[in-house]
Formats: sequence, C-alpha cells, structure tokens
Amino acid sequence: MEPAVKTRGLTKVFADFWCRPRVRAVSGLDLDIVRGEVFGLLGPNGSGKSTTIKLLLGLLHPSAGSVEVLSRRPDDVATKKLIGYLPEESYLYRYLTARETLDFYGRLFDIGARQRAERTEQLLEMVGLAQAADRPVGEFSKGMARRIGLAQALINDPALLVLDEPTSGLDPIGCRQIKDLIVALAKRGKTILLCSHLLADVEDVCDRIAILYNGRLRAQGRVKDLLRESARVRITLPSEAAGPEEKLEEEMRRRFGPEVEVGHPVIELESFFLDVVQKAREGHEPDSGVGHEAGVPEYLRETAAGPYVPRGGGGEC
Amino acid sequence: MLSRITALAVLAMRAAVRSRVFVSTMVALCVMIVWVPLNVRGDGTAAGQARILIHYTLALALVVAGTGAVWTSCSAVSQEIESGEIRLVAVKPVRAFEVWAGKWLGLMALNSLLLLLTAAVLCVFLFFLTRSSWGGDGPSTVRERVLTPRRMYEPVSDAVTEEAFLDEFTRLREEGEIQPGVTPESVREPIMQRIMARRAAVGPGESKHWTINVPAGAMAWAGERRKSFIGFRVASASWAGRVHGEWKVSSPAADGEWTVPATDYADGYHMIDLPGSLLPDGGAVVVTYLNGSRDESDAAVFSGKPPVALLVPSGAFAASLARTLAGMLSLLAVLTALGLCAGTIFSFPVAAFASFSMVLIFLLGRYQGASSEPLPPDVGFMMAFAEGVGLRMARVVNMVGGPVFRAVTIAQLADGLAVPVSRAVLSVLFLAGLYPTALGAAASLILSRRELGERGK
Repeated sequence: MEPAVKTRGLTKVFADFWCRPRVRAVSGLDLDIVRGEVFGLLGPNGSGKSTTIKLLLGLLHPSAGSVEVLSRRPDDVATKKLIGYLPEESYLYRYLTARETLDFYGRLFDIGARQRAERTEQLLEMVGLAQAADRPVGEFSKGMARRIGLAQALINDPALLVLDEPTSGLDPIGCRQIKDLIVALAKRGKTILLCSHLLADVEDVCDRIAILYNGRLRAQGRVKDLLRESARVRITLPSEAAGPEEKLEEEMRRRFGPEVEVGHPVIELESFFLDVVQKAREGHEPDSGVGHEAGVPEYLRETAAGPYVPRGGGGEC
Repeated sequence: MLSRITALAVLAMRAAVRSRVFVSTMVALCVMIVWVPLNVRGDGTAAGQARILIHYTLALALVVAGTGAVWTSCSAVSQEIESGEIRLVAVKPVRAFEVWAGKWLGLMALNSLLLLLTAAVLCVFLFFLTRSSWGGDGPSTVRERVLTPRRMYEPVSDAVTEEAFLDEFTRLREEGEIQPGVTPESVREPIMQRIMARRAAVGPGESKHWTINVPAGAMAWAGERRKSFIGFRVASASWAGRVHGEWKVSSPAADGEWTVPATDYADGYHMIDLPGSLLPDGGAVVVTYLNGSRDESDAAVFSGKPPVALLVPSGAFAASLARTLAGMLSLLAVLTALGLCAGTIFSFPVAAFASFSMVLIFLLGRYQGASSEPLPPDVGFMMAFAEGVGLRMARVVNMVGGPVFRAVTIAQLADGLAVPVSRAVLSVLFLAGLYPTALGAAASLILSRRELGERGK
C-alpha cells in the first residue's frame, strides 16, 4: 500500500540573510508512515520534529530530498483538502469566537453552510467548549485554545491528522480525551502523525514511532517491539491465588534465581486521577470554562467509504 | 473558491476594524468632513463655499483614507505572517491568490464604506447650503454654478506650427536676440512659450476669436433652468488688476448672436451666462473678446488652459459625484494593492516605509518628468548619464502613474464640470482592475513561494 507520508533524504538547512547555511534542522530523513496508523515523532527540543512537520505541510520547502503526502506534493491544494493540522502554538484569530473560528476554517474547505453548522456544534460539544462557543478565542486559556485548535483540525474530516504537541497545556482529562479521540480516529482508518514530548502519551496511542536527534533519524519501529525487554518475563496473578507475598518471592527465587521480583502492580497516575474526578463529578455541577465533553462527532465516526476520499465538505472542495 | 474568498474578505474586514489605524482613520475622517465645512470660509459667496466644501471634503477624505488604506493593507498580511496566524490558513486548501484577493476585497469594502460616509456627509452639507440664504447670490447660484455639472468644450487647437516657430527664430536672430551658432532646438522651449504668451494677450482696441465646435447631442441637458456658460480666466497685463472688454458669442449654424456689454473683469475666473436658444446642437460657436481699454499697456491675457471654454450642462451632479467617488475608490484600490503587496514581501515597518516611499516617488516623479529641461552640452559624462537615467525613470513613473493622477476628478467636480463616464471607466479599469491584478499576481507568487513556517522571516 502507498504510504500516507513518504520522505526520502529529506533535508532542511536554514540559511542566514546572505544565504549562508546556518542550521541543519533535518538531515537525510527517510520516513514512511503507513496509511491508517498512528505514528509518533519523538525527540528532544531542537531535534527537528516541528521542522519535519512543517516540511510535510508545505510550510517550509526542503533544501534537499523529496516529500510525498498522500501521494502528492505537500503544497498541492488537493493534498491540503485531506489534512488536519493542530500546531504547537495557537495560531487562531483572537477576535473570532470559538464558533466563528470553526465556521471560518470550515468555509476554507468549501463545506456547505448547513453541514458546517452541524459540524461546528458537534465539534464544540466534543471538545467541551459548547458553553464558551460565543467567547472570543483571545480570552481562552491555553487548554481551551488547544481544544478549539483541535476542533478546527477536524472540521474537514481529514484523512491525515497532524498533531504537534496535542496534549500541551491540557489537563489530564483533556489529555485522556485527546488520546481517546486519536484511538477512535485510528479505528476509522485515519492516519495520525503525532509529535509530542510526553512519552507516556505516545506510548499509549502510537502504533509506530520514530526518534529524531539533531535532525537525524535515530530509531524507528513498532512501539511494542522497541520497548519489549525480550530477556525478562512478567507474570501477574490474583492476590488470593498467590498467597503471602514473602512466601511467594522465596519460592520463586528458589526456582528461578535471585533476580525474581514480587510486588503489587500499580495503576497509572492518570487513571487514578480520572477516577477521582469522575467520582467528584457524579455529585457536583461542572465548573466554568470547559464543560463536559461529548463523544466523537457523528461525522467522524462514520465508516470511511474509501481510504482517502473524505466525506462531506472536505471531499467536495 | 468564492466561499473561501468571501470568508477571507470578511476576516480582513474584521481584523482591520479592530486595528487602531482604522479607528484613527475613522476618527480623523469624521473630524475632517464635519470640521472643515463648518470652519473653512470661501470667497463669501454660496457658490464659492460649495466649491470649497466639495474640494476640501473630498480631498481630505482621499488623503486620510489613502493613508489609512496603505497602512492597514501593509499590516494585513505582514502581521499575520509575523504572528503565525497565516500558517493555519496556508495549510488549508486555499491558493495564495485567494488569500490576497480576500484581503484586498475586505479592505476595499471598508474603503467604500469610508467614501460613502464622506459622500453622505457632503450631500447633507450641500443640501443645507442650497437651502440657506448664504451671501448675496443665494442657493440658486449654488445649484446653477456648482451643482449643475457642465461639459467643457475647448476652442479649436491654436498650437504653434513648426513654420511659426522657425519664423520667430529667424526674426529673433535677425534682431540679434539670439546669438549666431545657437541651434533652433536649443531654444525651442522659450520661443514656443514666447509665441504662446503673445497669442494669449489681447491688446487695447484689439479683438480675439475662438472657434468652438459643439458636437451633436451636446445640448441635450441644456435648457432655461440649466444654462450654458462661457468660462474664461483673464489677467490684466498692467497693475490695474482689471480688464475692460466686450464679449460676443455667435453661432453661424443657429444664426444667432449674443453680446455682453463692455464690463470690467477682475483678474481671475469668470463665467458668462448664455441664452439656451443661442447654441446649436451640433456646429461651430465663435467667441470674440474685444478689449475696450484705452490705456496702451492694458492688455488682457488669457492664459488659462484652455483660455476660453464653452460650458454646457451635462448630466446630474449625483452622477458626477458618483464618478468622482469611483475614481477615488480606484485610487484607494491601487494603494491597498500596493500595501498588500509590500506586506507580503516585507515585515510591517519595512512594508509601510516601502509603500509610502513608492507613493512619494510617484508624486515627485510627476513633477520631475514635467519640469526637467535638457542639460547644457558642456556637462560631464557622469552628470549627463545620471540625468538621462533620472529622466527615463521619471518618464516610466509618469507613464505608470498617469492613470493614478487622472483618476482624481475632485477639482472638476468642485468647479462644476461634468466628470465624463469614460474617465471613471478608465480609472476603474486601470486602478481597480489592471494595477491591482498585476500587484496581486506578483504578491501571490511571492506568497506561494515564501516559507510561512518561519515566523517573521
């Protein structure tokens, strides 16, 4: 199958005013992102993640090498019809309200007025901003701006979703919601390129990852394969069946050697936090700002008719 | 595509309305168009007040709106690039020219609004002026002299022929005013001016004739209440500051003649009423001036361009006002396009500087092109080369800027002259069509090639 994103020898060198090479941000990057997968792009600050994303979106032009996005050039209008992009920073118009923002970006995709209105309402519900729909985006907190940014990235029902630090500035509930959304969209066959510093987020949702350092690709593969410790085995048992912990550890060490460890597994802090908030919400009204989030909008849950033919306005451009 | 352009246009309008520049422009405009009519005093007549009102209000509106248009348009693209907002638009299926067209249309909608506001205020003031008992001439003079646009018909060309020029040159050389060895070309300009000055003067006891051809259908708007005039600008050659003379207007085709008895005319512009039945609807009209002064030095000089003109009612004031506004809007269109183009290439301060510099170059280039005289042959090569380059550049600037200057018809409107449809159409075609299209194409090309991922690059 043709990859959703394909780069060969992709290089980006930033030059100064006199066209002298200043920084080599990306160097000889070969990347293949398969259609329908969630791909994570990792790396420390300055490793070239954001530059790579900008190259894929046509916001920067490569100094060398080639880029193909959905089998076309990234600056092709036909390609852009199929892409949703959440940038690292909020580049939204501060004077537009949340509803106007979605309506504006919807119009850029030539989505019909009725469909635009429907999608706008669904997306506002999904990101929990229905209550703040008529407030200017400039008044939003960082988390709320992130949510509306995500909503605009989904207005065209994109085939390829590019998320640059999607959980940055979000509370744990928002983070969970984004991750759930990514999983839901992936099940629909969408291709998602995720760029994040939060390794736990990437680990939770990505099928494959690539690690960049100093503009070069250092590791690439399936998350499970990369993280699996083949030399060690983990066994989990119900407490009742295992009996006293000290006795079990002694028994296991006698059979398998001194490296055996016995203990209780711990749940993730995120799961614990969400559990506490959920219990608190059951007895109280939601606070101001971000309200209850609804599920994934109807138009994003529909089964795809074809791998890269978006439904609704996105495909009618 | 229309949906995208409309969305971008509305966004550009909203962004501009929120900018301090636009608010300042609005405030300045409101102050100007209300303050000026209430405070500027003309020659004491209602017609003079109406002329000043029209001229000052529209000219100030053009200057304020033009400055605001350049400033706002420079920031429209450049600040979006600097803030990164354009990135989210650039990754959507929007072509660069759609971004440009949307911004231009949005800003033009605001410019139209500003001009309509100005026109509305002007009309309100003119309405009150035609109903007030101003000065001694009253509202009827305002309606007759200013608010009835007239088409100007000029006399048959009185251009200096080559033969007349050479005759004058030979005479001056024989009289010793021109040294031997001086070529005719090197003294052409002063000799031409001398001949024209002599022709413009009418000595005491002398008379001068001008023949004006009136095309068929020209008198369609003329009538008892909408009179035709003979307009002329005259100056006395002596210190008197007044000339004394008699006017005679005859029309061989209509077999009519009209004589204005000998009168004193102060230096300046004058208009003489003509009876509607005198002028033919197609044919020649002969205008004669007889200098009735007895003092030998008291020549009357008709130095206007044209020296004498027949002014025939043509169309309604509203139509001429609309054409003037169309010309002004066209000028704002090209200024907006210039600002947007500069904003696409440069950061905001540089774009604003570049745009205003361009406007200044066009303004100065106009005078440079018009006033430059050839250098004497003994200047050095570098000087001659620099002068040659400067002159050529001035010519290019004049060629490009010609339609820009011709678009402004405020003076004609204020002088009670009809603004021809052709002039408004040409202004719209060139300034609101051709020039913005060319600037838009250049800006779109640059925008599509520019790396928008780099903030403020």
